[in-house]
Parts: sequence; C-alpha cells; structure tokens
Amino acid sequence: MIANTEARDFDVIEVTNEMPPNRIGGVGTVVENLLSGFAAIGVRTLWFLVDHGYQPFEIDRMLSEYPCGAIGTPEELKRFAAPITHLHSYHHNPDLIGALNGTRTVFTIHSLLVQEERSNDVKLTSAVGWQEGLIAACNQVVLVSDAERRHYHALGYDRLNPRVRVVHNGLREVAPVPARAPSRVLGFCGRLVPRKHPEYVQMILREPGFENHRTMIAGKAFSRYARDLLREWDIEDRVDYLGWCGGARLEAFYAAIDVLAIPSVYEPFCMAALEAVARGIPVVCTRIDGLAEVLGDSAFFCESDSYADFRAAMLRWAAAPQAQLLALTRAARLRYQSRFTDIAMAQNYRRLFEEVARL
Amino acid sequence: MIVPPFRIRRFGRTYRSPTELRIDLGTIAPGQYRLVAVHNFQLEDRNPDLNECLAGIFLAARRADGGWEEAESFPVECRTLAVIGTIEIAAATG
Repeated sequence: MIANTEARDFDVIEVTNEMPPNRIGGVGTVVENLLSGFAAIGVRTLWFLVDHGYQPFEIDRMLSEYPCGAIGTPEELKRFAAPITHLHSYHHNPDLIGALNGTRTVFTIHSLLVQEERSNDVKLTSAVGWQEGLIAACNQVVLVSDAERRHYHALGYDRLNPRVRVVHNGLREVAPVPARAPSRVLGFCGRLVPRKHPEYVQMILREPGFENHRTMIAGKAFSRYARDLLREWDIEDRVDYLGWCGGARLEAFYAAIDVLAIPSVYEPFCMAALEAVARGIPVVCTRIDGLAEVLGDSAFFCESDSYADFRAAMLRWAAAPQAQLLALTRAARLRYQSRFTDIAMAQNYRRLFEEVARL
Repeated sequence: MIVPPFRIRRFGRTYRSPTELRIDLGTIAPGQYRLVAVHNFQLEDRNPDLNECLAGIFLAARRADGGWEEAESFPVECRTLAVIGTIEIAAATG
C-alpha cells in the first residue's frame, strides 16, 4: 500500500476506482467535487484508490496533488478507521465486500447498470451482478437523482436493499464565461455512447440555419461509427474532436461554445449540464431523468429523443432573442448555486453519514 | 522499441506525443503489426490549447483474414491519424 498521510482515523473513507487528475469517467468528476466540498466543510476524508488502472507516474501525481490519499487492496482498508466507508467502486472485486464486513457502508450508484444496458444496447451481465451484490451488502444506497430512485424501485431493487436516499451531485463554483459575440460553435460533452446520441449534434450541421456552424466534441471513446459518420456526411472539417477534456481544457471548451447539446435517452444526473449552466451556457436537451431535475424549466427541451425533435429544439435556441437567452441562463445558474454546489453535496452526504453511523 | 516524441498535423489540429514511448516487444505475440499514430481518447487532456490534442501509438495486429486491427474498435476507441511503420515479430526459436 502507498499513502501520503500518517493519519489513520478519519470521518469517512471514500473508496473509488478513479481520481483526478486523470478521471476515467463521470465518477471521477463527482470525486473531484467531493474533494473540494468535503475540504470546504471540514470533513476529514481518506481517499482510498482500489482496483484501478493507473500508471505509476499517475499515482505519484495524485499523491502529490491531493492530501490524505492511499492506494491499496481492499484488505488494506483495515489499516484505517472511520465510522463510514463510502463506496464509488464499479470494478468487480469480491474481496471488497469481504473487507467491508462489520463496517458501516454507504454505496453511491452513479448509474444503474441495467439502465446502461438498456439505453446503450450492450450486455453488462457480470457488472450488473456485481452492482446488485454491492447494493445488498451495504447499509445505505445513494442514488444521484429522484429519477434514478424511480428506476431503482421499478427494477425491484428494494428487495435487495430498501434503505435508499437521493443525494444530488454538486459542482465547485466556477465563473460564468464572459459575454462575447456568438462563436457559431455547438458543443457536446460526455462519453461517446449510443444513449447520449452524439451524432445528433453533428447531423445538425447539415440543416438549414446551421450551415455556418461547427461542432466541438469533448468526450471519451471514439468509434468506427463516429469516423464513418464524419465521412458519409462530409462534415469532417466542421467537427472538432477534442478528446477527454479536464481542467483548463474543459474551461477552454466551455469558453468556445455557444450552446451545449445533450440529446440523451438516459442520464442518471448529467454533470455536463451542470457544468454548462454554472458557466451561463444555454442547454438544449431531452426532458428526462437527471436532466429535468438539474435544469428545472431552464433549458430548450426536446419533445422526445428523436432527431426531428432535437432539430426543432435547436432551431428554437437559434431563434431565441438575446433577452430570453439571458433570462434562461441566469435562472439555470441560480438554480445551480442554490441546490447543486459541491458544498451542498458535501453537506448532504455528511448528514447522511451521521444517520448511518447511528444505525 | 522506442518511439521518440512526435507531432502530427491532421484534421486541422496538431497531435503531440510529448514524451518518449517504450514498447516491450518481448510481450507481443509473433506476427505483423502496424504502428498507428492515434488521437489518444483514453487519457484526460488538460491542455487549454484546443488546437493541440494528445497523440499515442497503437500497435495494430494483422488479423488472420489479412485485415488490420482498428484503433477505433473497443476497447482502444482512439482515432487513427497515420500509419507510421510496420514491424514483424518473429516466433521465438530453440
């Protein structure tokens, strides 16, 4: 085991498969904001990295940039003490459940894998089984939106564990992007999977009204489908794939776009929507799941997840007067500041940890 | 095999591999391989210059049907920039 702290007693041990600065996906983004939220309210936290795929130089960077970190096996969790162990783990490891035996455990489900299977048309059988095992083994399940809670009930997971709470994700305070003339750049941010329909924000470039626009894509997992779409639609020179963006590059991405498009069929929460509205960027999206909870009425919503309805919502955004855009983005940013900050998330978790510790 | 730092201009951007890459060919199965320079979608990129992207190297094996593995396929999921070489790894003798 490697650790950068001498301390052994903490308020909570956060067990994760990923950490900044090289996040693997959305879990890493939530962990990044829990780091700042817990630090702001004084929760003494050990960040325990387990079952990861990082290189030694990445581990060194993590340990130098973030305090109270440890990397080890599930068995080595026993070297530390805390009233609560908080799991974000999604990599299958039977030893983890064994190592948790006798400790109070909160398990945050960042997305229900059965929903991922359905919306992406993939088979995740063993991962689903692992997630269900963790649900049954923990003292408290946390879901990231009320919509996820409804899915949880519909799946019959109350039989596995009826102790369920919703804790919305939060985002560290960021400055709005400065006012500027439109850049005619459409944005997409997220993993490039079928459920997010990244192709919509590229197909729109061929529609009347968008002939002079470009599309900028910040996301992970390029594919043959993405490559072939660019060629078949002859839009290769109008779509900018930036790769998996973080830190200053993510800021530069949001500074460059006029609108963020999220035409997803499933979003447990959608941190990208929160990142956009926190910066005062309008969002065009489907009215589903976490998106509806994060944005309230402050977005250009598609009537369905069809491309035709996405196009109609994009046209409404493009035709919106400046005053309407300003009112909408201000309302969305206020909603973020009042409900979805990193500190609000950290406070909600601290309250929950105190309840679970008393069980 | 050592691949020195390189940069490639494609798709209106510059793709950089800023450090030397080392590949242990002793762990690779015998056969023909292409060295494919790719836009690396696996690493988080924090460079604020959006005109630059991270590059990497994908060792694409020649398949039994004569075709080559593609960087765009799961689990690599990176974007091909250019084929920069071909190598053949012989079966161990003795």
